[in-house]
Amino acid sequence: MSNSLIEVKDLKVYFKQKSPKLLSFKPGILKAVDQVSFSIEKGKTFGLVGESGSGKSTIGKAILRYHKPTGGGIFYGGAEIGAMGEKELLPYRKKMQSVFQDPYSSLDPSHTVQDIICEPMEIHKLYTPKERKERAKELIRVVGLKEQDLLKYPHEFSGGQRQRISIARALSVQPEFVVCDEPISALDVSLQAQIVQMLQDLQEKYGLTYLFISHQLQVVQKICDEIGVLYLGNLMEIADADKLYSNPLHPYTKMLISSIPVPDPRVKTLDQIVTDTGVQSRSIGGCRFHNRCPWCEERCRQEVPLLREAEPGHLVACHKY
Amino acid sequence: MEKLLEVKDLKVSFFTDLGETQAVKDAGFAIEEGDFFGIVGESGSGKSVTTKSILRLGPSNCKIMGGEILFQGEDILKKSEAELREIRGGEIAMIFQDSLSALNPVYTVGNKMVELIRRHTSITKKEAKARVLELLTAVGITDPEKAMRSYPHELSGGMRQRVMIAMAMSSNPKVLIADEPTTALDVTIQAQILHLLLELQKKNNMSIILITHDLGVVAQTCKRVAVMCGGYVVEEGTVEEIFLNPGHPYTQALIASMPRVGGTFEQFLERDLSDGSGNLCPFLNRCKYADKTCEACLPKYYESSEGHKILCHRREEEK
Repeated sequence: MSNSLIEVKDLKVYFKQKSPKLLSFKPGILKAVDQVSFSIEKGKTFGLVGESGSGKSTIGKAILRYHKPTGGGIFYGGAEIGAMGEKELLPYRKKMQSVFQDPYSSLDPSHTVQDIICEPMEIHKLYTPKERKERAKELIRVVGLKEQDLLKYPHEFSGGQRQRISIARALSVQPEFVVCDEPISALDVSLQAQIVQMLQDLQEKYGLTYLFISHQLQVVQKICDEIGVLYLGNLMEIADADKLYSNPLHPYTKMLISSIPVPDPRVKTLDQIVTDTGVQSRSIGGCRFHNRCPWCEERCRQEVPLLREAEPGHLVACHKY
Repeated sequence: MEKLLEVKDLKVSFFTDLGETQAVKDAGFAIEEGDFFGIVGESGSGKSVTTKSILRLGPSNCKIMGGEILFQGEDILKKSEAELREIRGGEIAMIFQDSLSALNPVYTVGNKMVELIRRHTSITKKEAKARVLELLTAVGITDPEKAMRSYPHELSGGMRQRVMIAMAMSSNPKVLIADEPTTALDVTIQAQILHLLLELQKKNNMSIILITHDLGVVAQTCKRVAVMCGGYVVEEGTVEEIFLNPGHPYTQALIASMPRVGGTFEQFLERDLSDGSGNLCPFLNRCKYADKTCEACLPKYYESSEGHKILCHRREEEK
């Protein structure tokens, strides 16, 4: 894996919590991300899927170093950025950008679109002010908006247009790697397709590498080369996008895929779903998923399954394989 | 079968500083007893405004400009606020997408539900509490006593939506309006909630109106569907007719643009915000079949088969 741009090794992100016990000063610890390893090749898209609370956003934020990892390593083109100080990090911050889910709160309402797109360039001291304006003009066209739009404010745009502005902002400093954290979840179906198409075009044009975070499995399949399935901070399965859907191995992945409502009234899938009564629980030992798993055995309650190769290029963390 | 709820030629407008905006221009559909009725459309198509108008829950600058809403033969729009209050949350109940903001954050779930039940019936607090436990159990909450003591923020999204459903069910409604009830939830939880709605609908023989933009959800649950676009119901029919034999170009485009597992994402629907300007077909600017007749006047409804009506100039035989 010599040409991997991003490599995550045994990443741990823990958060301190208010103590669960009354009158105890020992803080509780929430293991948001636990022992997660994967790598993303240059120019490819890696998808992270999972239910809310699975830690997918936390991983994205840890790679961008919005969170400091508790343990493990994050490598960017071979350099360990997980433990770097702010000063050393600055050149890497330019190479890594992000697009967030909520196009309403992620744009400053008091700035014009031009200010929003130029700000990252100012921070990284790129170009002269005149060149920045030129670049903003170019970028706004790239994302499918008009030059006149540069002088408008975010509230004058619809959700889809705002997301285009977010993408233009992310691209302004010519990044190599973009974390797309649920970039289309807040949009209409008809818009989702457009934004996905645009992200793919941009990837081809600029040779971008994406980490694509989403809870919508239907969408992830279209854009990703490889997908990792997360459950409560643990990676359950990693496989090529097509393989994951045609041949899911982990029972959790199977459950996720079978839960997607099929848009065909002749195929009623809802009745067949094994209504799992279990709830996500971080406190159980063994495999985190065992209380919701239809295949649960004694071993699953005791031993944590490790991620291993079940088929070439298809990793799964389950005792069955 | 007798029509339980009938919406006829509904027109709803919003009044702002910039003038009048017609959100709903012509919405009409009928719901039978025990129906599972879906309303689909993009955001801005008027689907939420239409259903909110049934209970007159629109914001203060929203005005119903015309039409009739017949519930059990009586026009709801002619009823006084006091009469409507009995229907609202009584015979017609509603649940919303954002369950966190729909629940009062300073009351526990139990507290709120007891209040709600005693508002509609004259029973003691103790009896009301027993009823709450029963309702929470019925919606599949495993520890109803704990849920009663919880504040809304202490519950997960799926649990909160279950509480919302339990609250709506407390009055044994004849109609339950569910406005995007699963949009904010994970797929696994979504499946559970939809399963629950189907079960409750069968058990209590109530009618459900489900508003959603997810056609997968519609296909899995609904019996009949209305497709809305730019303030008009452009097509109405059984779920099989809509999916397998869509008549309106908008419905066809909507179905083609759906992301599906194993399918392609190539075809997609261009969004056009100028939708429905003027008194013309709301899909005119985006329609690949649009011709001179479409630019001249608004099309009329025609029935392609029994109970399947389409608002389009193109007739079946022209396809």
